[in-house]
Amino acid sequence: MTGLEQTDPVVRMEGVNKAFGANYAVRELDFELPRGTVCGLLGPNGAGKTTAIRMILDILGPDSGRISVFGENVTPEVRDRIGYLPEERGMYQKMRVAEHLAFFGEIKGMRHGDAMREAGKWLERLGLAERADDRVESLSKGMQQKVQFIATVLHGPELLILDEPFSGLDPINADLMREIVVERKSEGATVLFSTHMIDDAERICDRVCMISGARKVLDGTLAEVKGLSGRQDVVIECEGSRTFLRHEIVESATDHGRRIEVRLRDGADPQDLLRAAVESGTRIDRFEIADPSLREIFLEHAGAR
Amino acid sequence: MIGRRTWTLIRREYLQRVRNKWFLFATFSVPILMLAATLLPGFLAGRSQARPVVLAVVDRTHSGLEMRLSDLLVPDSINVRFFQPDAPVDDLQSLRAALGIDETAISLRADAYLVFPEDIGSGGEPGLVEVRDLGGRIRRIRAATEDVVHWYRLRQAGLESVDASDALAPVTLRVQAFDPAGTRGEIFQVIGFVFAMMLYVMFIVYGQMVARGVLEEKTSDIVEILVSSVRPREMMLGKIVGIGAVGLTQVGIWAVVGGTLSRFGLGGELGDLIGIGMDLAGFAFPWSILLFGFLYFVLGYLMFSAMFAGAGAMLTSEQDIQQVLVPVMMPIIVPIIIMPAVVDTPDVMWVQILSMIPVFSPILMPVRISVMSVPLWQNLAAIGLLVLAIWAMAWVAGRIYRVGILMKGKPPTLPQLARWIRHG
Repeated sequence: MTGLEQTDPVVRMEGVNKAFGANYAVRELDFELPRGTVCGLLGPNGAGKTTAIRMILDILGPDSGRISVFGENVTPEVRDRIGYLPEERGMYQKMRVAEHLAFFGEIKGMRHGDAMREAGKWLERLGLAERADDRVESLSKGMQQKVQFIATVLHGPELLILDEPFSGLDPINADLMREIVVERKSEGATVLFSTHMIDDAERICDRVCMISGARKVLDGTLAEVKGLSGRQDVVIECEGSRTFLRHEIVESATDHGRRIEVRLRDGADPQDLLRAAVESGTRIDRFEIADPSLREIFLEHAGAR
Repeated sequence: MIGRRTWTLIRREYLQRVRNKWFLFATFSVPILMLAATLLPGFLAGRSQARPVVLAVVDRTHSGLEMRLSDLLVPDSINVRFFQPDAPVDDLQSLRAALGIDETAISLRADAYLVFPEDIGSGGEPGLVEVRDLGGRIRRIRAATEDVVHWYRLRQAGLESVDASDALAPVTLRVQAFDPAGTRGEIFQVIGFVFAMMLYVMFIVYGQMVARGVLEEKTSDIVEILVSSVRPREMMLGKIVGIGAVGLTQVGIWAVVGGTLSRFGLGGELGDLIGIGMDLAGFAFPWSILLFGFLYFVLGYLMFSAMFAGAGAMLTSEQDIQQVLVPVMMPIIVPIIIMPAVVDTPDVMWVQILSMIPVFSPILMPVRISVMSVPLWQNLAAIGLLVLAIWAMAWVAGRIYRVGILMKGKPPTLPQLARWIRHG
C-alpha cells in the first residue's frame, strides 16, 4: 500500500479508449473509484461495461488513456489484490471442490496450505463443508455458484470486481452474495460491480457510474446522481386549503384529492414549501421528498442514446 | 524464468491428467499388452508341452530312424514308438487306410503316425497323420524329421562319420556395404523406423492433448478467471510443460518396463514380435541414439505443442477442430510419408537438408542418426535451428494465444491471423 493515501482512488481511469475494429467499446472514459465504496457500473447490455472491467484487470489493453489500480500500473502483484468474478464463470468440472478453490487461491499468490485452510473455512460457512472432496461436476448449479463466490474472495482481496454478479442466481444465493459484498465493504474492501439490474444497484451501492453507447453518462454518489437529474418531487397528503400550492417554487401540482404530487422548480428547497403549507393553516399528514428512482434516471439516459 | 503461478498451473495440469483413470489405463495397458504378446505364445506352448505326446513311427527303410528321432524329440516330451502295421504301408494314403482297420494301431494310442517310405533316400517324402492336434509341437517334429532324413541320405552316400546336423547347419550370409558414410546394418533401419513412428504418434497425441486442453478452458469459460490472474504466456507455458511432463511420465514408465523385459532376456521374443526375425537378445543399444532421440523428442514436443496451443486458442467449438489442426499436423505427417526413402538413402542431399529444417528435424534426424552416423555439424545445426524455431514459434503462438483465448466464433482467416500476430 506504499505511496497510496487513504483518500486516493483505488481505481483511476483517464481518457481511456478501446475500439474493436471500427466500433468503440469504451470512449474517453474518466472514472475514479474511491476507497471503501461499493460502486455500481450500470448500463444497458453492450454498453461497454465488461470491456471497461477487462481493461481494469489488464486482460485487455486500452488503445489510449491511462489506467491505475492502487495507484500503480496493473502488475501481477496488483492483480493478486483483486478478486474477480467474470460474467461467464467456468469451473474445472473434474476437479475436487477444495482443490479447485486452492488452485484459484494459489494463482492469486497464496500458499497451498493457506489456500486449503481458507477454502475449508468458507466451505464451512456456506454449508458446503461435506462436499469439499466431491468433484465440481457433482454439485448443483446453486452450489457451484457458491463455490465461484468463494474462489473470488478466498485470497482476501482489497478490490472486488464483479461482472453481473446477480444474474442467474437463485434468490437465496443473490442475498448471500449481497451479504458478502456488504461484509467485505465493512472490512475495508472496495467493490465495483456491473449490472443492468438497477434495483440491485440502488440497494447496495454508494456510488454509480453509468455507461451507455461506450460513453460515461453519469458518475457520482447515489445522492449526487439523483440530484443531478435536477428534478425534485414532493408528495403531500393534507386536509384544508390548497393555497400554498401557488408558491413561486412550485412548477406543477397534480391534486388526487387527498394526495397531491408536486414538482418543484430546479434548485428549489422543499423546506420553503413545507413552511408555506404550515403557515397557511392546512393540516399536514404527510410531506415526503420523493427522489426520482434510479430506474427512471437510467431509462432517461439510456434512452437518450 | 518459471514463476510460482506458472508452477501452480503446471502442477494442476499434471496431477489432473496423471490421476485420470484413462491415463492409468493407457499407460499400463501398453506394456501389459506388449508383455502378453511376448510371453503368451511361449507360455501356451509350455503348457501343451507338459502333456507327453506319443508319436508312432513306421520305418520302411528298417534302419533305426525311429531311434534317432526319439533322441531328438525326448526333450520336447514327445515319446516315439516303433510301429509295424499288418498291411504294407508305404505312403500317407496307405497309412491312413491301415489306421482304420489295424488292431495294433488302436492299441498304441498314438497322437500321430509318421511314415518314412522305403525310397526316402532317393526323393521319397515322409508323411504324418495327426490323430490329435499337436499344436506348436508339429514344428519340432518337422525339424527333427528333416534332420533324420538328412542324416539317412548322407549315410547312404557313404558319409557315415559326418554329423548331419553340423553339416546342414543353416548358413547366413553377412552383408556389409563398403560405405564411407557409415550406414549401419539392417537392424538399425528397423530401429530408425520404429523411432520415427513413436515420435510421430507422441507428437500428435500430446499435441492434440494441448490443443484440446486449451479449447476446453475456452468452452468452459474458465479462461476469463485465469487471464485475470495469470498472463496468457504463463497459461500457455503451464499447459505445454504440464502435458509434456505427463508425456515424459508415460514414456518413462514404458522405458522402465521395456528395460526390465529385455533384462529378462526377452529381446529375442521382442524381435520375433516385431517380425524382423533378428535376434535382439545380445544386441547392445547405442546410447548416443537414445540420448539424441530423447533430445529431439523434447525439442520437437516444445515446437509442436506451441503450434497446437496456438491452434487450440483459435477454436471456439469442437466442430472446427479438424479444420485448424490438420494444417498443424502436416509437418509431422510429411516425414512419415518420406520415411522409406530416408531409411534407404539417409545421406542424399535433399534428405540432409530436410533433416535440418526445424519442423521436420524432430522426426527425420533421429531416424538418420539411427541409420547412419550423421556428421556432428549437421546434428548441431539441426538442434540450433530447432531451438531458434521454438523461440520464434513460442512468440507467434503466444500472440495468437493472447488474442484468441478471449475470442468467440469462427476460427480466424489467414489475414485475421496475421493481424492477431501483429497486434497480439
